[in-house]
Amino acid sequence: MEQRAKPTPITAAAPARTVILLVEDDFWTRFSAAETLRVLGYRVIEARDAAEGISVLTAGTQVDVVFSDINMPGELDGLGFAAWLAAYHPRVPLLLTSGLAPPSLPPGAAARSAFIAKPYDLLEVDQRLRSMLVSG
Amino acid sequence: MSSTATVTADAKPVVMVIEPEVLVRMSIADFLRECGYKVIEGVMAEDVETVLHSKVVLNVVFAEVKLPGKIDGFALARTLRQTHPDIDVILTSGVAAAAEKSKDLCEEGPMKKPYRAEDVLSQIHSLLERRRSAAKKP
Repeated sequence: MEQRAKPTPITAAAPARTVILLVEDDFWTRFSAAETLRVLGYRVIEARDAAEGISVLTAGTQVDVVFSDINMPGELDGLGFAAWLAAYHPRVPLLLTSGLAPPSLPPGAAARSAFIAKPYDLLEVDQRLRSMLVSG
Repeated sequence: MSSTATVTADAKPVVMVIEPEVLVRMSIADFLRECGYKVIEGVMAEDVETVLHSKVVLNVVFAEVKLPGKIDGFALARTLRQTHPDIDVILTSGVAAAAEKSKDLCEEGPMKKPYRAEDVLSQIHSLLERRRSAAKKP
């Protein structure tokens, strides 16, 4: 069950921004995507792999959309993460990305997931995220 | 802080936060961004090397002492003091120190926002506690 993080004095004054959980193992890909998305107005939480993404969500952090690479080291890759999200956070939309051909998604994950190929244009990522959030 | 005095009015000072625990890292990084810093996130000392080899300018490195990989925070600080003496290095050991020192850094930051270290610390603690209790559920 998704729980909203309790507002604290630190964040209460800031206007609400859409929160993206960005999951990407490559340092520069993650950094440039995160910074560009912040300039575009998002709050971006950076995770290097599925395990960090799971930590963030399990701790009750408010996340509006997940943007995750597929090929990542660790116990779970992006597809494993998609399956976990479908089971535990089914209402959070997921945009998956990869340099390889789009995968067939695990059952249940397909409904709230979309795919964008690498190398991606961040303005296009912005558009895709916004349309996913609207139709959510 | 000497390094931020040389930054122009338009540019945000840049802090690199090296912290292996994602919940602590995201809290400290967010907090410092609200104080007006640009924050680059890393999990190990080698990430600092990655940035230093690029054109990205670092003003401050804020690092946990216990780091994965071959280089701990102390070794990182020693190296940086030799190779990049213009970069301010802040070492922390544990969450309470990280909260306290990020509050100090915030007070020297561009936004001049007064925050209490206790607020950052309680935010981190509640994230860690929620994750702990979620993991225990059958």
